[in-house]
Amino acid sequence: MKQVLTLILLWICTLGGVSEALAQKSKDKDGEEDIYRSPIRKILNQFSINISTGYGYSRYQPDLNGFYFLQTPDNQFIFSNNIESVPEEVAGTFNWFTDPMMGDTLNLRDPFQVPLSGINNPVNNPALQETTLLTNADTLGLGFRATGHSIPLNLSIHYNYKMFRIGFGYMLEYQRIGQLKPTALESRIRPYALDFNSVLYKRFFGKIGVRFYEWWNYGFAAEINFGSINPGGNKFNESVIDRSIFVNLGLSIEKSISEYVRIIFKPSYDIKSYNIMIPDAGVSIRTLNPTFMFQIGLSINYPEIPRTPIKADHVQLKHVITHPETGQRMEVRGQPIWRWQNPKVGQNHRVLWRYKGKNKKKMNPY
Amino acid sequence: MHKGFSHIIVLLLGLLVFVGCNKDDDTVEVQGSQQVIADFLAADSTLTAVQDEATGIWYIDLDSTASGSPLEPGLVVEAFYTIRALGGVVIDLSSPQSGGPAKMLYGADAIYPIGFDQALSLMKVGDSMRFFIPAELGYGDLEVEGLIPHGAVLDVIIKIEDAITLEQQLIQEQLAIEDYININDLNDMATPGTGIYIDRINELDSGALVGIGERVEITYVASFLGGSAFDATFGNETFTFEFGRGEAIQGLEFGLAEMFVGESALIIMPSSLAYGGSVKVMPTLIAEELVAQKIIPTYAATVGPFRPLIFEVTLLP
Repeated sequence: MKQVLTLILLWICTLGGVSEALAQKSKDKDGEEDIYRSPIRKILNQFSINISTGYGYSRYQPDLNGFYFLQTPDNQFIFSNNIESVPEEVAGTFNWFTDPMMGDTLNLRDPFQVPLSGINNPVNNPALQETTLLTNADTLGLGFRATGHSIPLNLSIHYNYKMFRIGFGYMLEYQRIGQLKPTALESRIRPYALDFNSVLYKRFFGKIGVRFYEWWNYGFAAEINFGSINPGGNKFNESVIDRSIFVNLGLSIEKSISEYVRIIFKPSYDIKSYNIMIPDAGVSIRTLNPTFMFQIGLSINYPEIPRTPIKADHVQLKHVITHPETGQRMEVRGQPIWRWQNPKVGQNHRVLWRYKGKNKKKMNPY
Repeated sequence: MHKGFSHIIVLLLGLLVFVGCNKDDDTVEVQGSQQVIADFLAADSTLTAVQDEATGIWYIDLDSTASGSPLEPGLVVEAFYTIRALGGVVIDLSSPQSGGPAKMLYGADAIYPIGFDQALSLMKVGDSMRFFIPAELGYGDLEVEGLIPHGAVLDVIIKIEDAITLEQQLIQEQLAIEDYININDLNDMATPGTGIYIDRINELDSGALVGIGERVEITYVASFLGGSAFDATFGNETFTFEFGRGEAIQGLEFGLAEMFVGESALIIMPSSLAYGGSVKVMPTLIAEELVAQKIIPTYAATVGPFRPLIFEVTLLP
């Protein structure tokens, strides 16, 4: 995956950036002015580095189709329903959501059938709700549902070619997962309690997108991220889990605060799932795991021209100078990258920025 | 421009809140019982009932005994009663003609409907009272066609004949067991001191005894002292459990502890070593439904309160 992405990026760089930069250089040489432009800067300028964070809401939806579900006072087990009849004794699998393990052989007789032991305060005793329960999950459509709340930290880079973009990235997603609640017989089946509260997912992904609409200083880009996702640590037994490639569909709303810096607001939706193989049963549990995410962050491009190297040069706009050391004629910036490079009158004015809040309250703001 | 963008953010936050919301469960409650009781009492001026604020039960003192001793939780109450749906048919009764006062364990969540147990708390030994019990303390949503209407308010008359301690109950049962032994000429029965009576049928001179934690396999026929069998292992069926872990009733484990592997025995035990007060279900025909709804345990549908039991057991190798 990583190699493929790298190759694609190199190919596009070669086709787009380098050829464009070289063409520009030769054009300048042939033109009236011989202005030097760094081809490396020209190429780097086509890349956007994005960093963002936000909030994610995940659902876990394991489907127990193909299993019997057995609840005892101490645990919850599943075993394949591909059998002729339920045996009197059975060894089921517990901990099936994260790390499936075989349990001891269980006797499926009703523990409240005589001559077994009685209980105190028998009417409406809560223990009655926690006794053995055996059901075919197919009959009830039994599954479990849990929610996760996460904080993502996303770092990505993409190459811009006209309105299109392609790149890759890495995301850390700290997620807290709640209890898995049953979708049927809620009053009798206990929630599945995880033995951990949080997990740190690591995602490595490729991304493609298109900036399909622009309005004032805003740009709207549809993006698709796709790649691998893995929980860190040993909270899930990854040796028995087969995770699909995740696909994230997002709308990146980008407000430009200068030619090189944008603030990103990005709602997105993950489509992903995984299968947990149950040992000895020969069947796996499919778990849908969609996530809605909202991120906010920054996107930065490397400027194609440098700041002026002359200390006494206070020109605010982009302008051409002769470099004092190399003697090359070159175009330079008069503003930092987070400011508009060719400001209109009053734009970027420091006093106005400083008093912007105060001015709002004045009858005659200056 | 900024206003338009803020709309997008508000929309997204709204979506988040929408996604995060969970649907609350609807709860169905039987309502209006108090109004039904009030209307019933208002329609009959001869009835002067008082409401117990703690339970919401209305009661009329029919014949109180000032010298009667109050009931303490854990006493075995002997009572005659009649349970009707308000303005309806008799649901259950206990009378001298139907076999004498019913026994039930008071104040131990061992009586169904629970309103009956709470009604007893308003009485003393010897009292006779009439109660109007709200549906939620009666049968709730349970409905039996032609007998218990949905959401029925109960009209109950109770007369407490006596209340005895569990020790006195045990003595009564021991006397009944000894009568049974004498009548059936079971004079070989031993009393090992654990409260059971045991007669080893095919007695071996020596053999292995079962130890705590061992899995034991038995066949059995269980019956009441009167003679009717209520449970058994059939055909090749056996019952397996871990000995000494409380998985089986005490009396059975005490009996198996006296046996060598391969022996058969007749074990008689008082209710204190079996199901004790179990659950007094009124009427008994709804017991299976209560088991299905996990309101009472399965054994309570089979074995009533204070029933000495007889087990004919074979301890399999």
